[in-house]
Amino acid sequence: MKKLFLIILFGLLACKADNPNVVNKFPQDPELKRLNRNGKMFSDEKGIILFQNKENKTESKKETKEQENLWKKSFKTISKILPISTADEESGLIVTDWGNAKNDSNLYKINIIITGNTFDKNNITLTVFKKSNNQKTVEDKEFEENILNKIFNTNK
Amino acid sequence: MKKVYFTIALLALANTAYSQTVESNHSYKNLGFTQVPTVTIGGHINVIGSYASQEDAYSEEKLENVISDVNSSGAASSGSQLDLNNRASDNGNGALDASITFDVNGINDYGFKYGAFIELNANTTNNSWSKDTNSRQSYVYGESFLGKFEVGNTLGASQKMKVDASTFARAAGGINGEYLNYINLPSIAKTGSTSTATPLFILIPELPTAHGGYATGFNNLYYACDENGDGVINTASELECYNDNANDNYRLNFEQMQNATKVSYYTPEIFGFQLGASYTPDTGNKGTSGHLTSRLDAGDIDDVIEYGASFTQTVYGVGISASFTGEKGKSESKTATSTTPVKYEAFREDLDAYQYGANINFWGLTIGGSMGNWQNSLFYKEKTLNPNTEEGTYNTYGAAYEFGPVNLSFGCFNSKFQKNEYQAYSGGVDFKVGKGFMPYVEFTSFKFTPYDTTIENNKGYVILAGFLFNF
Repeated sequence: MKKLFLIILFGLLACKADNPNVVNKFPQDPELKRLNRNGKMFSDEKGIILFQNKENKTESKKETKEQENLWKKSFKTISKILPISTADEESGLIVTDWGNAKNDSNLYKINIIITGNTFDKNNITLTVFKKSNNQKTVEDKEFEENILNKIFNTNK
Repeated sequence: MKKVYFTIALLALANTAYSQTVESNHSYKNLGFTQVPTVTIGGHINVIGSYASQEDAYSEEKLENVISDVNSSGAASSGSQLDLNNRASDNGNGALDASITFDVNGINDYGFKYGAFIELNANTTNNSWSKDTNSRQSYVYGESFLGKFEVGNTLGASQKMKVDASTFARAAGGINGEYLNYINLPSIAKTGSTSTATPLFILIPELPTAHGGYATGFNNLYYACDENGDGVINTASELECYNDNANDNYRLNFEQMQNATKVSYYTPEIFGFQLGASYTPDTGNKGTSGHLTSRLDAGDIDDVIEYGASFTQTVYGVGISASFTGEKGKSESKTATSTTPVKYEAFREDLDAYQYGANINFWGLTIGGSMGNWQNSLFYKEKTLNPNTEEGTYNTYGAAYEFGPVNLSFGCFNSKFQKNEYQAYSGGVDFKVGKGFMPYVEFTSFKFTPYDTTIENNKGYVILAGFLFNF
């Protein structure tokens, strides 16, 4: 038994902390798991948070605010370029219809997903599709960069 | 055993110490060594309406065949009438189960997580599964890259890691769920040393410590109170034990051992594989230090090692989970074999049981099953005192289907213990009305087939309808 534990211990030490194949997921009480499978009224996992670190709360609120700002700014920017088809602030999704966004004969469609909580370029995934009459749909990288610059006010 | 303690202590220290060396993503290092933990409150209320039907032999208000060497006043009197009340004698009932949970979680600046979990029973009466306890479980834990430690009164590795058909049961829990609270167990008792034995059954797909310590029959006190291992309750101490607990005789008490104080360790999931182990010094240690003392023979089990290995993975949208779990321990039941100096010898076999199972999930459909074997765990060593020596075994199989907010499940459980057979089929439907609110309906049929031909077979069914509110 002791040998088995030591083998496990050394095996774990040998793994890197950031290894995606090592997951800190542990077995739960099967009875509670059964009762919780339909989710909880106040949250999916735990319940009502009674006490929480104030700094944590403040930071969390700040991040949420920034996320809202990023979504709103993105919405405001691309709604001036193309008509919005779908938008959901909670999931951070904004999708436009196909339309003529530039003074050319091509059709464009923009997809945006807000992936992070801070007002940062790394937290937005923006894709612009371009479709011309006789060509396949392709991604327009240049237009993507242009829109990102508009959102983050870096256009000169 | 010192080796086990040493190894567990070593792992616990390594768990804590190693976490100090792992650079965490945590971004509040300027706040000090630790943050204020988060406290979360949760709970559930399960309102249950029931209709149960059971053949007469086991559903009379008074038990039919209860004749024992213990009479109603507690004196030894072979052949006297115990006159014990049966359990549920009404067909229709309404009940409510409730609990409140407190979950405290903290994390230090190096990523070491720690906390505590308490689940309080919030019922207006005690329940038949956990007797008089006011808390179902309470434990503390520490968690890092090296795995998770749990110390306290909670379930062990064999129970938490198992996979079987009850794992995905819907509604009221199916073959391992609520329905057992509404049926009566075979009611014959022993009549001194010449009697036939009380039929004992495996009623849920669990290993012995999660089954109250042994197979279950109406008169389980013969197991717990037979202090000298002669198969008869007749000494003053045995009678005292029997009468102290007589009112609880009909309760199932499956949970009386599973939450004994223990230490558990679980590895992280590595490529879907996970290992776990628990150590329980004495299943009689179920809470505060005021209850540490136990009888020399209280039916407890010492030095219980639970172990488990599981595999969980999703391949091309098909979810697979499998596990092998087991437990080993020593029977505490001992009797004196000499007077000077006094020596004691266990009169029951050691605990050694295992189970294995697997589930597959695809397109909302889950199918799975399991097999379990208690071997001759905790049988009388004196073979003639056992009705027979056939091992305790069981199997489960079932399926569940999720269709939007509607969930269906079906499960089957078959068991055999010393040739006493038990079978249960359960089907249930639940519907997710909203977050945390779920009405359900469940139908379960069951059948007892005792090996002893002087005891009648019995069967019946239980219909449960209710709603679960989870917050």
